[in-house]
Amino acid sequence: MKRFLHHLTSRRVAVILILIMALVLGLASLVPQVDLADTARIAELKQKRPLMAFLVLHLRPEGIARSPFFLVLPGLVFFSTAYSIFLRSRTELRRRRQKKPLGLQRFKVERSLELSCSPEQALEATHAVLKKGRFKLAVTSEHTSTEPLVAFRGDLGLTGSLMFHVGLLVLLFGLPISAVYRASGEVMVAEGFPSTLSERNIVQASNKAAMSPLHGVTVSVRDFSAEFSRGYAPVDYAMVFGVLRPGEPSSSQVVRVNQPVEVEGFLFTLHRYGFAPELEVKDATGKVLTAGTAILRVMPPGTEDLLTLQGGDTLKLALYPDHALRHGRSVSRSLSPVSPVLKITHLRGGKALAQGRVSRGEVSAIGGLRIRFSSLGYWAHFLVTRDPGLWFFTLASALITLGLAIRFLLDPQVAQIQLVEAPGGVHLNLVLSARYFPALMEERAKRLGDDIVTLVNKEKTRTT
Amino acid sequence: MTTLEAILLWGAILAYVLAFVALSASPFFKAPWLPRAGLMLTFAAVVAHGGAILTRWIGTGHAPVMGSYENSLTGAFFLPLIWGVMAWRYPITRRAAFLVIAATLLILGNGVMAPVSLAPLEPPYRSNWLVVHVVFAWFAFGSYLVASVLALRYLWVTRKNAPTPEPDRRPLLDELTFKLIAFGFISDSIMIASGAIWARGLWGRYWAWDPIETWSLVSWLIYGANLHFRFTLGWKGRRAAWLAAISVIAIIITFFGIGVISDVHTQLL
Repeated sequence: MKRFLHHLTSRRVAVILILIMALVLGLASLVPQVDLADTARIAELKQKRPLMAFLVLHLRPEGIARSPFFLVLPGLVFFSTAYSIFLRSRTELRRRRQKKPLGLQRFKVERSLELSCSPEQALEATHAVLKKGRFKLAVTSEHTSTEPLVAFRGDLGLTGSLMFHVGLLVLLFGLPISAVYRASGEVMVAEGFPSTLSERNIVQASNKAAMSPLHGVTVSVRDFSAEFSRGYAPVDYAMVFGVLRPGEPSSSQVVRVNQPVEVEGFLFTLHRYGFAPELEVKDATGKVLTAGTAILRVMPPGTEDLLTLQGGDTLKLALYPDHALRHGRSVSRSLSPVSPVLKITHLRGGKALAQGRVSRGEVSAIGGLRIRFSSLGYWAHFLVTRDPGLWFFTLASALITLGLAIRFLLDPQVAQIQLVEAPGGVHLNLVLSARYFPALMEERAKRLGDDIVTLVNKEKTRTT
Repeated sequence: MTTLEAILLWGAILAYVLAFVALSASPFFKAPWLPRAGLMLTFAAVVAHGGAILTRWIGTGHAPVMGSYENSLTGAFFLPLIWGVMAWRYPITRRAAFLVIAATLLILGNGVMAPVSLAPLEPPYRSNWLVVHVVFAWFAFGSYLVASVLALRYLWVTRKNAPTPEPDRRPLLDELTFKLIAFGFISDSIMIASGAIWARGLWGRYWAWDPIETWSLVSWLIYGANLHFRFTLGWKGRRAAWLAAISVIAIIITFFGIGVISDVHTQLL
């Protein structure tokens, strides 16, 4: 059992697991993310990519992703990482408790120098060069010239590695929390029409019960502003988002793309917007068939939407925010509502009876109907989400990036320098060691030696 | 594209092509001026390339990181930049220049085939995280790609029957490959983290398993495994170089392949 556990938590197994995870994720990304209840999407997929449709319908990749067989992979990585952290922390803590400096590491490089100066001058130059190379002396006060001088750098490097792996654990811990406790839904609010949130108007809710803190809260939008560059290219959308909780004064704040608002711990993210023309439709006798705001899909301009009238007739509406006629056809020069025009088709039983256009602020007679297009507002579509896993992800990201930076910027290195008096000067023996990168260390040892010689020579020139 | 930008960009492409020709021909001719000319042309190309980026930046009023053309223009710049820093500090890496230039030309070629009209920054891109996300994405891409180029160079100089130079500095090439992978890995982590924070503000969630996110994670895992093979399992030399050279496929799929085979990040508004 102990042997099995040892094997399971070995670094070799951890690397293999990581590679399996990468392979599975890579293959999974090729499968389209389709809701099996979405028949239209499935039909489209069957027509365009029959092989993918077959895979989605028969292999059910969503089910595989949630299966215990698949979840065991990150679980094993978690276990293996945790065990590795435990072992390394124990060793590191022991070393620190014993106040031991880092010993010579896996790879060693040796360099010998003959310096024509006194031992004191050589020691001084060595100190200066080590300091410049960001080495810390392990022993300073009791040091004698017969003992080797020990210096080290990058002592925190191992801490960086630990931080990184702890970050990985936090991340792996946060992922199931996100998967289980994440709640999301969608809310649509038209300008001038506050909406009291309930189970009915929070649509596409992933977990209806989890959205209950929002029930009873009234949200509204007003003062929508869309900014366009050169008249056509959108650069910003913003609006004032109002919140009214029962028994509390209302509050409002600006919401825009990339700037969500938080209500009762839920994030309201502006996801889509569209135009909401205010219409009044009367029949030939003057009877009002509909009056109010119509929420229209408008992307791209000319997209048609249906509005049902009293009595069963329908109007097919298409909005052109910046209307122009090109070869007798309605087009929109931009999305900016400079001169909005509604193209309206009156339908009865699916058959077109009449067609016409009406501009903002005007009344038009289309067939037997009188249609007033009094003003143009906006609607906003919000994604509503709450994800407790976010805090784990944030903490993990910070630990991972910081840990990596410390680990790779502070590569642990140990220098051991022995100065021995020799005829005509001092014999200096430099041993530089590190866990990794022996060739780079050789370069560094050469540089350190050269710097010591240069400094000694410079000092000699200065004194003579 | 403004006239000045076009002149600088095509000037850079011409200089890269000439540098590529000079550097790849230099082993076959005993002309010591040829590699020197190649390096000087590379330097001139980088200056012109940087000028094109700057002109684009001024023209659009935002950092050139939007759309295929701007991403290729900026991203390709990171390759000679990262290689240049390495070559300046470690001359042994200079002989890999022609491969770096070839990769730069391929990315630029991919960019110039895309629409190049000047456009303002769209609302979803108006975030402070954009620059962090994109800059570190290109640092990661550049580091990984230059690392694979150095790995290929290492495989070439250590092939069977290859002469052993005196002093033998080939192991340095091997270690620099992994230094670059480590740097790329840090940049990759920052890229993923900043992207997630940005996504939280934009879409209300930090991770959605869309193909680009998934492949970023796949690349991250593959390069994480690369580092583990090196640091904990002690892989080095040709075996490690093969791994580094092959791993670059993951990052190429992430940056250029996903758009071809699947949906990319959902665009908002």
